[in-house]
Amino acid sequence: MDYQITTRALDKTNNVFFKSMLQLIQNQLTQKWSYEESAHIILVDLEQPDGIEFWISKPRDVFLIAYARQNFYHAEWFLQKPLRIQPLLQLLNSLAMLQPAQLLINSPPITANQCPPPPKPSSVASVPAAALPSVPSLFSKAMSGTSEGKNKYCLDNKLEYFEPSIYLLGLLQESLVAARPRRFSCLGSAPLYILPYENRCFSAVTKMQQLDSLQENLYSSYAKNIKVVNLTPEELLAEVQKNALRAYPMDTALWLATLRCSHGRLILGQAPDSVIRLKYWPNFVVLPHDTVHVGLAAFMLKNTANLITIAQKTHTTLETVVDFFNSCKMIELTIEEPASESRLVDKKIAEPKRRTLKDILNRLLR
Amino acid sequence: MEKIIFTGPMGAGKTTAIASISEIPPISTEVRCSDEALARKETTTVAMDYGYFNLDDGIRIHLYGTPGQERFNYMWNILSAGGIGLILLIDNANTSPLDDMIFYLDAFHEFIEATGVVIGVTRMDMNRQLLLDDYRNKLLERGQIFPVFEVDARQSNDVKILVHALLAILQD
Amino acid sequence: MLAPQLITKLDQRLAKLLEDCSVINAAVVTTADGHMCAMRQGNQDYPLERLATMGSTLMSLGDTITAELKMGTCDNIISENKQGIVAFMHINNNLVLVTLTVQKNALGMLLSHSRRCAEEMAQFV
Repeated sequence: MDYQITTRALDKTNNVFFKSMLQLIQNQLTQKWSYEESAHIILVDLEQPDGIEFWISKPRDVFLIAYARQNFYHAEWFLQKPLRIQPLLQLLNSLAMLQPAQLLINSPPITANQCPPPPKPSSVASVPAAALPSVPSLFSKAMSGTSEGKNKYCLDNKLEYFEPSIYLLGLLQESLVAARPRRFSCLGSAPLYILPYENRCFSAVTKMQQLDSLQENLYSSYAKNIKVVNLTPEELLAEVQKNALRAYPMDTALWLATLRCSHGRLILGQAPDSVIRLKYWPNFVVLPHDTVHVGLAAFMLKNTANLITIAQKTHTTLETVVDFFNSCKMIELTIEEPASESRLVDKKIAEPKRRTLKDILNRLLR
Repeated sequence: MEKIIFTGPMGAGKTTAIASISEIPPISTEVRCSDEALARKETTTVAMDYGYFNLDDGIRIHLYGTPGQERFNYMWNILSAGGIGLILLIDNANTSPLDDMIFYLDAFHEFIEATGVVIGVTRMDMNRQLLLDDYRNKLLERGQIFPVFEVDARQSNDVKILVHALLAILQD
Repeated sequence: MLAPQLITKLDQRLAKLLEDCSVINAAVVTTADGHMCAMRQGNQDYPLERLATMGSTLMSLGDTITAELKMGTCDNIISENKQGIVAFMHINNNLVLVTLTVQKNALGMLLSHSRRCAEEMAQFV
């Protein structure tokens, strides 16, 4: 069977590279694959605003593959950047094993640049992304312990840094500085209202801890995809009352907007080899978090270390540590120390005790 | 025997917190208040509250709540002996919650040194004069950094976060 | 808290208890939540305020245990010790009587006098 694939939002270089690589691997593919300007199977660059917009719009009758450094949209089909032969090969061969209906082969083709019609779940694939080959992460070089890589990650390329201004976070920061009450909305997500002088925000979401993917959109979106409306405090509070919105501390929005957008990239302006500790415990009751963040907080309160050491000592990925650090920094929980202040406290817990504590945690989280 | 101890002043939500994560309706020794506390709360714990949850391997984690008032402090040592850590609940709507926090931290000083403590501040909505930062700053004045969370003792998720943080500090 | 007149009556009845039964060395009436209402003791110097609070704790534990075992209400709790006996019993739902003797063979006397005292107190509180 012949398969056609196209791309969406890939820059020129990436697109040329993709086409060449497709040619290159042709004789290793189980089916014939060709690049077309218009096709049902679309590789979407989720690090480009156009790509995100296209992805979020959930176009019908297409089969989407996420293309990014991290699968932060939890796409069922995902190809990790940078483009490499083996992952692409395995992805296409896995796709070729799907039933034609799952790939929507019989539907009329769509041009990737067409404006997509409204919602329908895009995920029709039955094989989870986890089944795909795992590609070493951006930071794996740094974690490998080579003397060159040890503290040198995402240093040279500005794109590797997390730049808040292009995300919701930038809009929030700007609004706080300007002390402007505002409403932020994004396709499909409950709007977020902020009232800077009360240091509060409001949302219809009742549990920020358990946002569904639709609600997550707002917090992970590029600024350009977010509608911002200035409100007077009275207008804002009237909307809060009318829609029975729930109040959260401003920190909740800042934290979430950082956690969902940083994708393992150190926040712009942050020296990667800084030695860090936390001032206080994050108030996890109002800060959406994963289990691993609680452990990181405990470690970063007791120890002063750089991010790589923190990741190594806590057996956590560097990306997770960076995301957590960025979020803590955004709500001013971090303290940076000179490298000479690096301090690690020995753990003195007996193994059976550690196992029991872990079992208690597992039971609680069930 | 593994047990987690809940303490704090009367009305801070110890009994409720235990109830929210216990597998059984907690065994409680609450009696009617006879003093000025009656204005704030109908009943008070005079011996202990008790609940538990079981782990998959059959190990039972016991949850003990102490009586809140100082006159029952003999129970504090009895109940905390052998505990894995302390969850201190402070009622933000009390007259001087910061003093309450200090009082209990001092009273359980040895136990905390040997294990760990997590602080949950309840009824924040009833008193916005004191914020979490005030608690943190008070602790910092004493050179202490303990986890402090704003919690609703009725919400099991909030109580789980307290226990989770306690487990995290015990492991680190 | 109890009215002063009532406290006086409780105190008088405790005095009578110690008069009627010489083996009783001290007696305390406490609220169920551990506040002492009245106390009497002979020549000894027991920390009766502390005993009052502990009495409420123990009585409450007794009630909790009997309720758990579905054994009805807890009548009294006896603590037999190397150097004496302590008895705890309800006067009513809100008050507890605690009595003690240093004589190890006086359990019967301690219980019967204390029980009568508690019943009489229940009449007027």
